[in-house]
Amino acid sequence: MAITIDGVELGVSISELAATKIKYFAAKDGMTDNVGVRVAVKGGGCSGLTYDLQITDKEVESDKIVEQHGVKVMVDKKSYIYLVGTELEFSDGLNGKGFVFSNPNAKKSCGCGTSFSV
Amino acid sequence: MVLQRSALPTVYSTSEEEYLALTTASGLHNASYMGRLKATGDDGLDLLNRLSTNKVIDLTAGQGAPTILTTDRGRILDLIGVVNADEYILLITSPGAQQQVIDFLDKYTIMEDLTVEDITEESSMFSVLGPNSQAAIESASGKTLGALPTYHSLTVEIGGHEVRIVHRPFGDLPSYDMLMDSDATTGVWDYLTASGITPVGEEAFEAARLNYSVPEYGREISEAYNPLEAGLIGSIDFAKGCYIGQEVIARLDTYQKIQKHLVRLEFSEGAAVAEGDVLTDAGQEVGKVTSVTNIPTGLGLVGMAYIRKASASPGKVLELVAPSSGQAEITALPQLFGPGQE
Repeated sequence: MAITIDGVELGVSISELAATKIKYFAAKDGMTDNVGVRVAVKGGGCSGLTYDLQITDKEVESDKIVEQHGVKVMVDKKSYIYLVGTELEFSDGLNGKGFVFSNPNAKKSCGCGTSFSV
Repeated sequence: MVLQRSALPTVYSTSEEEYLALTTASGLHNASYMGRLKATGDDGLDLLNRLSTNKVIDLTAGQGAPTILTTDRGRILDLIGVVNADEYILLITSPGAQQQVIDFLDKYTIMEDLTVEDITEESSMFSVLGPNSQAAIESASGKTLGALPTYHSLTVEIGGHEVRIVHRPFGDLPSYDMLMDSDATTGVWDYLTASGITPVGEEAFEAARLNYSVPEYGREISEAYNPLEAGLIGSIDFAKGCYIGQEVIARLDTYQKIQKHLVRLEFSEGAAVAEGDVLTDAGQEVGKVTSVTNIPTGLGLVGMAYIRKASASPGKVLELVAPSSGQAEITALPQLFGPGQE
């Protein structure tokens, strides 16, 4: 189910912990203003489609952008239909997987979770 | 109109003469029935690298490699040649598989810059095969090919026409493809035959294909098999990262879970055998014949089959089942691109 804020449908939402980590990695790269995460889908991976995640402070005009927890979530326009309703979380700890996508559109995912099919 | 393999002349002179030319000198085969695609855009190699079994991302102009498009279950959709032709990427597909390959690439092109067009009809393709094929091409073009690695290519001029030469393996038989615009077809064919390369019809070509164990699309290459069963391990890069079907193929390799192998067969004298015939080992069915033909020089019937792993070893003699009759000896487990990475 798509997630909405004030009636606006989000392509991708991010958890508070994921936002904190994005800001942490952005600061390490010298980004403090306009911090965002660009999310897209590319062909490839074991199941056919794979996530592409970039921490950036540069907006792409055609992206769908919503700010959450102080981070701009920018979704590539062509990837949007594959990502509607997806939540980006962060799996912490010794056996954590880092950034993890929870995508309701994914019918199948590969073992490592970075690839999916719809 | 795209040439169909079934429309090729059965013979130009005699099968014996043509087969001898292929195996002892050089033969010229019209392979225009193979598919040819032109991929343009900045992301062609990157996308192909993410979608297929081999590492193709680093191919520079003139370089090429075989790679396999597989399903998410690791089954073969097609074995294709990827050639970096500098201004575009040339993809050599199996006959009739062009649209399937285009659809597959299109399905996974989301944010990438890639356009693929079918140029099969507007181009032609010949194969020059045989131990003297390199010397014959060098003599006809006046250009040295050197030790051209598998699927690497260069352009030469033949009879006043620009031709791209691609080194495409044909088992242990040296073989080079020639690609050209379709309006050069007659000129290049005539020039090469006048230079002494023997035209080869369908019968002798099929005999060479089976004697040198080259799998064919629709027979030995199809979605019924995975690349490891088909002996195509040499076109898999196990270290390059994910691609569609990678998990399954890596697991099959790691745990040696292959159920069957493609094998080369020699049939007993007088054997009555046809494609699809069942083969047994100690009374148990172990596989079916996928291809069979007669070698014109007297070697007899040779063929290929997928045989259950436990029975797939060189020297093993299998039985044909009535109404067919005779025996089939496994002589090799062919690997078109070698044994792969050590």
